[in-house]
Amino acid sequence: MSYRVSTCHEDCTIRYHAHWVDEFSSTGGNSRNTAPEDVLAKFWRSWYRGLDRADWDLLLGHVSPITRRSQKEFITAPSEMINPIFSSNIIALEKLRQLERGWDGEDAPPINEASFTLAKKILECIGTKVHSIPTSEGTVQLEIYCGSNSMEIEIKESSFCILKVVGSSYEELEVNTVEDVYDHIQEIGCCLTSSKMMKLY
Amino acid sequence: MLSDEFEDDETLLRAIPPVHWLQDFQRPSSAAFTPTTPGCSVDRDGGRGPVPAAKALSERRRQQGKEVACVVGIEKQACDTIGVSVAYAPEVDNEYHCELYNAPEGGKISKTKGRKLAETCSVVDLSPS
Repeated sequence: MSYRVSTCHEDCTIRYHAHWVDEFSSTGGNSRNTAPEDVLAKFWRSWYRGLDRADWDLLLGHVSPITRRSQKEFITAPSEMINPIFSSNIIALEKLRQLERGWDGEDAPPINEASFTLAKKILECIGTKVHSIPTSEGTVQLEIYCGSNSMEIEIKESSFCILKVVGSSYEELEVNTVEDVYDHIQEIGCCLTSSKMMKLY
Repeated sequence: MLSDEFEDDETLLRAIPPVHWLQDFQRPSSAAFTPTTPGCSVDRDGGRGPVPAAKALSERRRQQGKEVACVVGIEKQACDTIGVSVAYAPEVDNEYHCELYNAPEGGKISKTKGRKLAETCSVVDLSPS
């Protein structure tokens, strides 16, 4: 159920609760009898409705042609079929493709395709909001925050340069596989989600 | 020509492009302090005061057609605490230009030091946009 999925995702849970409180207040308490799943489904549909055409086009680029749907179908789809966390992370990452040489005000190159592809693979398994940041080397840096812990992953062509911050301790390391990256993400307390759950369909 | 000595409370300013600004945390990403070149370009306030110096930097970047989310500042003393070296490097068209390095002998700022700079700096001039 989407409700169970959302409880793993701090950002969406917070937004969900904020929405539920609004709903509760606006109906004078009547929504107390509304199933959480229904309120959540309404919230997700509203989220997809709020996407503009450009963001929608970016998102569709990550859905296979077979499962591609119109925006209207997403808005009316059962909430189990929709995952806004993955969607919003992908939209943020996709926007980095638009950067041209010199985007940093100096001489930074556009983001290279290898870094972009690996970043997408990592995003598919992360169940929380991720900040996708371009680096002046033309790579993607993913920043994940989980309470007082956080991690920055710079994705190079053949390795991942990681800064892991646990409380007040900073550790820099380099790993070579996506699986190693997943291990470190879990170590900072961020939950991973199976890629099947994170896919749009 | 300014002195190549820095006062502990002299502010060093860096223009932050929008893609390096973390809205959720109201601070730049560490990536803002690790540019292509080994040295990270900053402007010293050079006796102008942090706010006028930040506005001048912001204005110069915009005139060059470069997007700026904001200008952040960090005191020389904070750079020393983090372990970042500051070198005065005046340019023909900018006598306030300086560079930040990972160590006195140079080198690109490490991820840890970049993160600490990002967490320690504060916004001095916010873009009107």
